[in-house]
Amino acid sequence: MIKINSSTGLPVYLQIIEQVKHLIETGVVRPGDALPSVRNLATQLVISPNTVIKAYTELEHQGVIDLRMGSGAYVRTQWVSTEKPEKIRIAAEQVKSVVANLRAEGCSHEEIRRMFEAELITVTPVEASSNSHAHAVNGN
Amino acid sequence: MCRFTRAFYPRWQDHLESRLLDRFNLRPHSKVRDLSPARRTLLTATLAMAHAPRILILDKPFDDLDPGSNHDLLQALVEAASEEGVALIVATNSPERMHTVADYAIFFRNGEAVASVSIESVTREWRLVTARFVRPTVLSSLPINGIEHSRVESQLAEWVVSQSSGARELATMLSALGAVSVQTEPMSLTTLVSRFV
Repeated sequence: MIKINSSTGLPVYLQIIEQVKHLIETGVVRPGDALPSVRNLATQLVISPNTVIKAYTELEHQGVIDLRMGSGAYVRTQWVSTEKPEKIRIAAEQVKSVVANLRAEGCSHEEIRRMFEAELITVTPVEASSNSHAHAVNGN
Repeated sequence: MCRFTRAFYPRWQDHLESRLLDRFNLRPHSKVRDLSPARRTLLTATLAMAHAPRILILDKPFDDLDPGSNHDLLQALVEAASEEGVALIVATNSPERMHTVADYAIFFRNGEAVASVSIESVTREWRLVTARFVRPTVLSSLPINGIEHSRVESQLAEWVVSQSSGARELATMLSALGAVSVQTEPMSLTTLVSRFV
């Protein structure tokens, strides 16, 4: 369910956090559902277990999941994202129209992808993260 | 071979042995001399891991491995680290394979440690900035924080910057100096090694 991209300039634990939130927001994972165990997620993605622990601890800190000793990570029943799905839907439409315009201008698929990546890399992941709590953690 | 080696280790774990043999697709009764170099490496890893060590030191483990068995070995190492808490120390000439697996990287030059970085900070902060100029441009001592390395030829220049804010300032400055193209990329460990060590 989670995919890691190692060339984005976004630390792996932040990628996990964003994707878990996205899975919840899109309804793929529901409140009360168990997330993969640290061992399973680390082994499946072939990433350091410390990275998964860091992501899960941060998600618990933000109130997204509950960590239960010995039994794993569960999506919090109380945690419901409010305006985000609408915001994402609007953003997706904007991206869609920008891409369509660029295609009409004759830009190739690859050129558009490179431009998006180049633009994102000039913004630090801290700024890119909308959650103010992420600042405190990144500052450590 | 497993039967021979296990005799030396009272802590030998049967379930680890069979899980590793299974994961590496090794048949318990095959002869060592019949194994390919890749299978031999994986057998060595099995023998080293089946007695549940606390620390595992691997010296260039990927050299003989094809991409498939490379993935199998990394996966087994991650499993050992997350399940039994094994600490891993891996010496390698292909650091890219360890990028998402490792927590820290230490770089050696002529046997001496020259730098130590957390992988997370490399991913988040370190950037490679490349600029092209139409005319030869003098670029000396730019007032930017975090420049670790720079290589300036007459029309092409590149910088390794260890702070993403510094990389942004540098990119802005280079555009102001008349660069026709400025590119900022995340650093791979391979690029880091080639520019740094």
